[in-house]
Amino acid sequence: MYTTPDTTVLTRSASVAALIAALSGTAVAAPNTAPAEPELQSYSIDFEAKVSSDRRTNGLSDTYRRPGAELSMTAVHESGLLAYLQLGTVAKENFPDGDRTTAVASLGYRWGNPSAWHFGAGVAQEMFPHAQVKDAPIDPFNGSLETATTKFDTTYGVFEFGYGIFEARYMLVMSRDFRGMNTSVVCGSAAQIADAQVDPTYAEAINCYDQGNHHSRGSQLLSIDAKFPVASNTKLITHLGYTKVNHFRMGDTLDYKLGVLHTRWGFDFEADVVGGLMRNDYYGMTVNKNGDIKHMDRAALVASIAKRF
Amino acid sequence: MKALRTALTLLCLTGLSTSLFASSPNDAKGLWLSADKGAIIEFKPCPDVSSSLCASIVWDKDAGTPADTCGLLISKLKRYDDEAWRDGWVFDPRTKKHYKASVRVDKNTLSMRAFIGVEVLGETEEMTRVASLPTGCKAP
Repeated sequence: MYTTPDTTVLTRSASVAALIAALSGTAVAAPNTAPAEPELQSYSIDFEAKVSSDRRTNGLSDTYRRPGAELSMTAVHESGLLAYLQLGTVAKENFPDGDRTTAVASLGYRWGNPSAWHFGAGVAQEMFPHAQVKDAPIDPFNGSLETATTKFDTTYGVFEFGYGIFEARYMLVMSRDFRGMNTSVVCGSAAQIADAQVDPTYAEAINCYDQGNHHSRGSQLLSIDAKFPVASNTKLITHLGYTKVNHFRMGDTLDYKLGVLHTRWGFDFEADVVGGLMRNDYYGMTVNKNGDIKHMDRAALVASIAKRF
Repeated sequence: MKALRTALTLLCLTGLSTSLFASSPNDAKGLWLSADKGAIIEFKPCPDVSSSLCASIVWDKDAGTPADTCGLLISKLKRYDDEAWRDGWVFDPRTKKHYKASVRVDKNTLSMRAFIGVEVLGETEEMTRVASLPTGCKAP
């Protein structure tokens, strides 16, 4: 249902991967007969482990543009119900005070024709254990001493629709903040950047705080994905997404991905050019504790290897 | 957002264009190379019910080894409707589980979809038509 970084969630249901492995002869030997009227599976549970040179969400790095890993589980029932759980790594630079992990859980329902119109609906919860921005000022440039503590956990309503190989997803942020985006965090980040750049004017941060104290409930994300078959075991991967951050227009981002997915020896090898175009890329920067700045939205070649089992 | 609108328009046009190419029940019959090129599957009328379509492994790159799957019946589909073979199953020898299945053919590509309950909850493997059978599997 939901996706984290670059993985679709309402996919990989039935265990065709296992079939493929079997066809390639990697499976254990089986009797060369099958029942005439077999009992069909009413559910499936599939796992995928993945390592990548960067973990991106909507074009932005969650790992400070460093390698990451994730483990996903998808459970599907014949009624159309799906459950998804993903555990992944993130960077402390992006999610301070956290334990470098994230989890996404979602529950949804899917219906329709896979080669024509099909739909999905559900809810997703994204969690960043212990990650928080503690006691960040809400309006420091106007003498206010008020502070806020913010967590990054986010709840989404998810609606999917697709036609053939095209998959579109719309997500609406239902929690108070979208990945911790509120005035104390967003504008505080701008102040941190100014510190790191030794910018005495703090112009961007002051402008941000001047917009007032806001949260980002109601943010919307829309994406379209398509996988075009190039060969029987190779696909061209395309993705286009748009994130509209409520009350923080400068964070609106158009993100994209273009790459190739190749399946061989039971592994999925993928290489993509991934990036984001933020309306104000000042807010695409993140500072580490040494004061070094990286652009989380910068285009990069992201390579990954995944194994389904 | 303009880019998204363009993509949606392309999506609709693609849907229209694909509907122009019709396939027939006989298109699935023949030899098909699996996506990983590790096996060739023959689709032909089932010996017991000729109106059904059966698929068996007729070449396996691991023929003669303990992983040999030569001769394995991996799929049976009972009816052809709306340009697809339906109402059938596909067998996964590794897990020894059966899933619902459907098969579609578009020119020289055969798409076998295995799914749980409804087709949308599944995954598709695409196979490529081949003209001849390499040596490997012993004759039945």
